[in-house]
Amino acid sequence: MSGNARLAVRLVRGGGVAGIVRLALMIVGVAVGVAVGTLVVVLPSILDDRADRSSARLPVPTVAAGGRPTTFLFALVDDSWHGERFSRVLLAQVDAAAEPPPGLERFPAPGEIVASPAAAELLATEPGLAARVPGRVVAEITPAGLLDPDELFAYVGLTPEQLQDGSEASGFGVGFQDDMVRELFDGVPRELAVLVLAPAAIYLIVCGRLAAATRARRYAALRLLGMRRGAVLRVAATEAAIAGGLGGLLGVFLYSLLSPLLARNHALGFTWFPEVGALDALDTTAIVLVTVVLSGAVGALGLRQSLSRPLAARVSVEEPRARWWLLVPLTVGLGLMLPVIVRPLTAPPGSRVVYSDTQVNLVLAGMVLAAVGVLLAMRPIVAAAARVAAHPAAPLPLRLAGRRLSGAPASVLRVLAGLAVLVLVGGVSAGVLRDDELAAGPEVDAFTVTVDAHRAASAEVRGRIAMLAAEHRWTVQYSEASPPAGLGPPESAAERVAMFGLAMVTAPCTEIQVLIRAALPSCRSGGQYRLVDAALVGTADEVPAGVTVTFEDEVGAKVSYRTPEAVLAVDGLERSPLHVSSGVLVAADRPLFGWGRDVTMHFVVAEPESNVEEFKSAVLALDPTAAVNVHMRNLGAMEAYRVHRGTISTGVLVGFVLGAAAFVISAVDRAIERRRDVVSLLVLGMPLRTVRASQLFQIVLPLLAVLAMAIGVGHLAGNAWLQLNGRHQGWYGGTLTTMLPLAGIGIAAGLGAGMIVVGRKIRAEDMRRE
Amino acid sequence: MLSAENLTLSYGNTVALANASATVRRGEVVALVGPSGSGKSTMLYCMAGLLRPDSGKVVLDGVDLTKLDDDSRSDLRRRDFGFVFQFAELVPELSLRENIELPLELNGVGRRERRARVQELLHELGIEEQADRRPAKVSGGQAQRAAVARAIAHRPRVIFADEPTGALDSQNSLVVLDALIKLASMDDTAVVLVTHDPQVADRAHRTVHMRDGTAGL
Ligand SMILES: Nc1ncnc2c1ncn2[C@@H]1O[C@H](COP(=O)(O)OP(=O)(O)O)[C@@H](O)[C@H]1O
Ligand SMILES: [Mg+2]
Repeated sequence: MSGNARLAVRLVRGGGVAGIVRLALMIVGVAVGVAVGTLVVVLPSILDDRADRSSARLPVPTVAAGGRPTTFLFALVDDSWHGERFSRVLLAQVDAAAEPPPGLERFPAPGEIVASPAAAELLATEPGLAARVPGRVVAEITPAGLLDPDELFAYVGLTPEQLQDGSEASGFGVGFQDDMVRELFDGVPRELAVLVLAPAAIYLIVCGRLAAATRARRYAALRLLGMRRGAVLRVAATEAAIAGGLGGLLGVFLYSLLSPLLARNHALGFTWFPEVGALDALDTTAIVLVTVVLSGAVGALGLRQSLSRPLAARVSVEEPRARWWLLVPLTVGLGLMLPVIVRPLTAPPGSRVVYSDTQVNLVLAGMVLAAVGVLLAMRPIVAAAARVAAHPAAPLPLRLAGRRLSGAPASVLRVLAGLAVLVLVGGVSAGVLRDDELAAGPEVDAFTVTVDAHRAASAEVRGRIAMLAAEHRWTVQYSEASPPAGLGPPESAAERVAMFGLAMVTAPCTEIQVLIRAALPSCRSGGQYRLVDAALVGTADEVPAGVTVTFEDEVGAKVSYRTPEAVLAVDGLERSPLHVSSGVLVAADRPLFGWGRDVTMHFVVAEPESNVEEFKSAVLALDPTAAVNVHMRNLGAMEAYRVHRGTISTGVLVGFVLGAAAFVISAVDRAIERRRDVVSLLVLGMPLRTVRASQLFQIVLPLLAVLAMAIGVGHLAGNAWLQLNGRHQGWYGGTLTTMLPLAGIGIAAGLGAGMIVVGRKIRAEDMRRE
Repeated sequence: MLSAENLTLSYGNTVALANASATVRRGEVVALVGPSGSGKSTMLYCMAGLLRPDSGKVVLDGVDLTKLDDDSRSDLRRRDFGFVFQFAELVPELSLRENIELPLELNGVGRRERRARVQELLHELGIEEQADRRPAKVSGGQAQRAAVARAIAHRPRVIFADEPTGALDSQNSLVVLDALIKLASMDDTAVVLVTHDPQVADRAHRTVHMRDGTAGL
């Protein structure tokens, strides 16, 4: 060990309790930074692995297999159970030569199910779910065939009769990444990095500067003794590198504890197999080396400044004055957001306000300005709070605190700014998440369910599905569409019908009137009408009378049909649950040509959402191959929402805790460096209460001012976002329920710090100069 | 008025005071002198009730300070004692004027009266011009004069001064010291002074010599 290193070790050891505490704080800081940083670095590979697992089990259609023979038939069912995706691969006519998918020893025979452990458990306990999947569970899929330990997934063996119209496949495992799976998680590492690494950096800077004055004096003393600048730098660098190396090791350890926890507990909105994110010896060595080098460099660089200004440690440097114009961006930002927030309050209830692009851009600019404004306003706001507190008529403790605050150093403001930004992000993201949530699954009182049962064993099954109990039901069948002869758009209404097919809606007059929310006095039971949106009457989109199209009947035979003369023009047809803008209405409860394959069945199911689950179970019990689609319930968007919510809330929370820790540590450090001032007040006979109160005010006052500002701005910005998108009605309080607990953590931390910093005893050594 | 009797105090293995005694009478200026490490500061802190001796008594007008609880000793310091240290130890965020005002305020003196008293002291000590500056913006001598003013502002019964001129040049030392003694005598305030400077000790009415933790005349 060189002389420098030995001196550094001695300095670390000789620092007394304070020195050890500081070293411990730095090590913990580096460790947390390393743990989170490692997670952020490892996450993409975890997500890649997930996408790879997904591609490896995708069936390869024979047409895309490049000459390899068909070895089985399959159909994919994209189902869900109370919002959890439950995909199933239905298999039939499996060849003896077929290679089973990953995680399976053999293909399930007809009547057998191979399910993921989570799915097997649910199937055993939920009869409603079991009804959807025919057969019994004979084996479980091993982790090799699953995306994550909680995934609901199953391979279901069916007879050829059960799986009509199955797709031909040559095997499993497409050669490209499953983009859908990967894209869902695209933002996760970035969001985590921004939300957690920035506060972690602030924390580290704070810890790195602990006892700065004490250490500056120590290094000045070494310089006085004639030690060279470079040597002092090396001592400082070694000291920091020791902390960095230990922190790196601890960080790897922390990661190895935390990552399995995170992997399993949905904190990020999804789970994964912990083995995927495990580190090996090489990773560990690399991480420790990086932290040693980085923290050594930071340690030396931090000192370089104070060495070049040797007096800086002694002369109190004037902090820049608070200037009023620092408040301008915040004010302008709030001003830009306000109209959007106020307008819906003044607009008549129920009406939807639509904003122009310019207005939208102005509001977005306002949100950005306000966020930047919060940072800039930090100094004037703290200064204003200090001025109020320092008013001559204020009680002594408050006044003293105000005086100390008015010269609050930039480092305090930086830490406060970190906290404010996190609270702000918490508030705004609560608004954004609320909007995502409403986009993925709006609050509705009835659900439209569409069933496509073209693989069902018989027309009779479709007929039975169509008669399932629901609020309303109707069917839609499209006529054969012929591919366009030439390029370019259709020239006449008749050509258009030939090209895209004709929608034939079948429902009794009473049902149709409820669905389109209009009276149809001319609708007669058994009648046939052209149905058109009132806005499209006379345009090329209106279905013409007397055009001949071809439908398929129950046995697959072609049937010609001529469009009728009679017409029903309906206001707002396009927006009705029928989702048809122009077609033919048959006023009956059975399709004209029976329950053909391409008849889709539509239902309205009333809330609660559990009704929908029951309804899906009823449909799938009749035809396990049916595709059941619930409108306004976008499973992918819901998953994306959950992942974002998990990532952002975990990120904000971890970041905030780090920020609060940094705040407490710097508050305590400053108090320790000012202990002599406190003692001199005690010597004057100032009651301990007063001293304590003053310390408390000094810490909590700026915290309160800054957090209040962040909460106000976050609430407004979150609501501005919601109003812009118009999905949420009225004020949204969720921003506050996100931000207030954070602020609570901050204040509690501040109070705690304020309480511990004043010792009760006057000690002789505090009364003398070193 | 104030007497310390047979004080002993050890810091771990180091014996700082071994059976040391001293008394101060009303209006008297007593200097504690002796080599470095002989226990002068420790003695002073004990007499002022800042440290509690391991054994022995400190009696102020019949009350044993060593028997008082922390709050009562705080009250005593606030009302009856004043302090001057080697470095002024002013509150850095407050101006000199506010620093001097502090003990008066802590004692609940009315605002108008406070102002008048502070003005008088500022004038007396010749630091009127610097009155509204913070301690960091004045010279060491000026800060120390403010510290003297602060120690005497509330007309205490005893002022304790630990090397009050230790950080000053000899010119400034004497100015500060003379001001302290003059102001103290005006109010009949006693002064206990720790110093190793014979010139300073000369101004005292009486000197107590300390050696290895014991005191003698
Ligand atoms: N806080 C302390 N901890 C340990 N020893 C101390 C402490 N303060 C003083 N001492 C020791 O007690 C003795 C007396 O110190 P002090 O009263 O400061 O002497 P003086 O003021 O005469 O120089 C010295 O030997 C000193 O080293
Ligand atoms: Mg001394």
